Amino acid sequence: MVGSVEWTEMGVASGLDHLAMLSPIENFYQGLVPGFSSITTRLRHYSFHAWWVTHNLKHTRITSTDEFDAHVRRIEALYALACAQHPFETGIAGSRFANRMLKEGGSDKIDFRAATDLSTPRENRYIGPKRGDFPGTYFGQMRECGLLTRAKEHKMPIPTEIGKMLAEAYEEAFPISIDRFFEVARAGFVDRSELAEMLPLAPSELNHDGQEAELLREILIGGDESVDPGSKRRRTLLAILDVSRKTDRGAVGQEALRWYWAENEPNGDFFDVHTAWQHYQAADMLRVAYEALMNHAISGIEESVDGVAMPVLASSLVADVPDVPFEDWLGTLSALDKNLQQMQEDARGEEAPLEVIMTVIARLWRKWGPRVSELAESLNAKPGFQTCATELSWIEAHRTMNAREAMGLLLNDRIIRRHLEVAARKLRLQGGYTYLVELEDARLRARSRIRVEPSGPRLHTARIFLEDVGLVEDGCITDRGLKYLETHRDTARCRLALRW
Amino acid sequence: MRYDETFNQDGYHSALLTSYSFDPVLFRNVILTRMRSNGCRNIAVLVDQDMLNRTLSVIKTAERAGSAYHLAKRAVSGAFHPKIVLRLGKDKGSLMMGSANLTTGGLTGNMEALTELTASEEDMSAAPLLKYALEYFEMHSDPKDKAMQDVLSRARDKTPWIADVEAARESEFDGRRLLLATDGDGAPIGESFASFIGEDTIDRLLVVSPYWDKNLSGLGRLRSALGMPDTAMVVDTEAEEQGFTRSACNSQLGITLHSIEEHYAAWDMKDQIRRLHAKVIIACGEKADYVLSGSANATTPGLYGRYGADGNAEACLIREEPKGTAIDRLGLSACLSGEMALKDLNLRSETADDSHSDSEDLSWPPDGGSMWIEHGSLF
Repeated sequence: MVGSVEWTEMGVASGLDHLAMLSPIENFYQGLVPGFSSITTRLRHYSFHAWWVTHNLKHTRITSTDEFDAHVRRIEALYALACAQHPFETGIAGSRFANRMLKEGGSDKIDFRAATDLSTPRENRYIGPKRGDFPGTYFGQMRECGLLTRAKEHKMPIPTEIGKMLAEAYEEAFPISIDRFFEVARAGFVDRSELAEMLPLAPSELNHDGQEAELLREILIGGDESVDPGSKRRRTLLAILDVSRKTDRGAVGQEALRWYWAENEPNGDFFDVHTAWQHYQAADMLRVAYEALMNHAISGIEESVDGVAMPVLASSLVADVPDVPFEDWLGTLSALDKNLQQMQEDARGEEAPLEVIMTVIARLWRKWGPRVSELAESLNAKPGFQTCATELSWIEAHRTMNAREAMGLLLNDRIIRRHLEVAARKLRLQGGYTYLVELEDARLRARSRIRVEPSGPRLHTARIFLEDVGLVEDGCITDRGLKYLETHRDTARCRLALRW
Repeated sequence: MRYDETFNQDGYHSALLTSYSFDPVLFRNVILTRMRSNGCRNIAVLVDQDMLNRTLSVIKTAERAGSAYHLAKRAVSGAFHPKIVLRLGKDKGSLMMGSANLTTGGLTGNMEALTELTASEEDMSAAPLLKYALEYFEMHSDPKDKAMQDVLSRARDKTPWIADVEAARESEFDGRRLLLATDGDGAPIGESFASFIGEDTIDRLLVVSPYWDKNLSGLGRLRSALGMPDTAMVVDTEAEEQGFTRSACNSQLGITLHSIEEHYAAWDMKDQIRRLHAKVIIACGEKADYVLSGSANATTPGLYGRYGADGNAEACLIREEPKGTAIDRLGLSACLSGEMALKDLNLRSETADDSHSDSEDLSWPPDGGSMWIEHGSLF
């Protein structure tokens, strides 16, 4: 009815990166491990996708998007069924569907036509995305690795020369007739006995002494460093092997690596990449500390449901900060005898005191304050971004100010007002409601807190990939890995020497 | 209604907005950018003087004010409280009125109530009300504020249809009446509501409001004018404190208390954290339902303020709806299904000050006045 009152709607209330400090960090670590993502789970999938894309170029020759997508769905579902037969296989897209189908009795045949049909509801499909796993997860990363590209004429994925070589090596070890695989995929059902023959397709079945594994190792670590954009990835992977070697063949999980690089000074063959990972860790630690400061401020606002005026909030939050110059306070905090990992864990704790959170920032300031330009150059953030470099510069500029006053200013300008600005931009650009605090009637009102988490720089993926090709086992460098490290370390040394 | 998305509409050259509370960061990033990118570039905002001074003392600056839009302060004896968005185009117009301030909460986070009236080439029936809103905005604008007068002149000049329309407070849509009630009408909003209802007998009153008088005087006066109907007060049970005291509630016979949370649950919004800021009064009569909605809380300054005298500046719409339909249409029947006990609410202390609690806050900053450039000189 015209002129009748309505309730307003809120829309989607979700979002991450409440201070918009994460995106420059993500861009930075993506540059250190190009070709990996947190959802590219097994290295051998790169072989499988390179193989069928090559087959399509040579034989199937599909150039229409719809037909291509239908083809992807069928072969991915069949591949998932084949891999899921392995008793300990992980990282298979569609494994829930495959395990369910494999467990279902009653027939010798497994029918996967419905699970790969576009009209099937999402919950009954072999995988959520309508176009399958390949386009959204693997194509982009494989292009970064130089394995795939797009055809100029029809824009379909096609292999590069290296991609073709990998496909050939994969085909060598293919357990059944190639034509039969595609025939079964096209039909949409498979005999259990025939499926059993496909078990060697599983990533864990890769023969580490075979041609395919050798090529995968070359793609990961080998190649010409001077021309390939993947040189940083190669250096990172070699550095990972080196860490395991240096730590008496210790396990190289994501956490172990990030803290090893952060706590130890770079030297030796991997000085450059070690330094780059230190820059990453400094940037991420500062972001984590800032998000913890945001939560600290929110806890102050939460004390009053009807909100609190910003000056009142700031003075209550900094009440325990000593009445000394900012640099003196930071100096005292930075001298605490605690390792970085413990510092960060303490700062992330619920209701962490201001002093505990600032200990992280103080330590970063002490180490990186004199080297801010190095961080700024490395992070290379666009204007308007708040990074470790901008924030340490801010602290440097306010180091002689009274600590209480400087902290009030930091909380006000760098945390709360920053959040209000970021949330407003997200509302405009993405339509999402991401406010943790709101400003109304000149008071701040709390809505929710941040879940403060360190970022995941894909070092876990790196470790899995190294395990997939036998260079690492249970996180520790293998004999093959040691040999590989020594060979490529020498090559790297020669190249570095030549460049100098 | 997604209020923030309404600012994406095109076809308007001018926008005149009023608000009690104002978030300059939100306004610049969302409302201003959306309006300007859709061709609306003649924009003025009128905000309560004390609240704006206080906000600016916190936020420090209202970026783009004075260049991309004109931001002006308004002081009245109470609060300058209307929430109006009047947009004018060459051949159309839109008037949005309700409870929503130009803040994050108002735009999306809070539970707000809004009404939009539009005029277009095809249907100009709302045009007199839009013109009335324009005159109301002009009434509260400072005639010495040259920038504001420039915005208003441009708005009128570029809106040819507005000159041919005679302003009116009341109109009829779908065979039922609608009244635009403001502090500038000669009668306070509460009295306008009672006059609008006229001789109809009111069986029941439902009042949704985030704020109340300590002694419920505004509500009591309205009930008295409507023949003391049974009254359901719908309150925000998540609020730190209800505005009224136990004795005030006990002194009002025929009152029941209900929670807005039931409404959220019934509308599948239970997971959303939304602060109640809507102000809606439904009088259920023998002939029709009468819905008062807008900026006025169920308080004496809100319902009984008068232009140039005590109380707030407010703007509301009063709409006649078919008998027995309004409560269900707005999903408020869910609230009425359960009653709140006084003991379950955090009530105002009997000894508390009459004004809204402000104890921990700093004092209101002094008004810094205004600056303007005229003939090359800064005044």
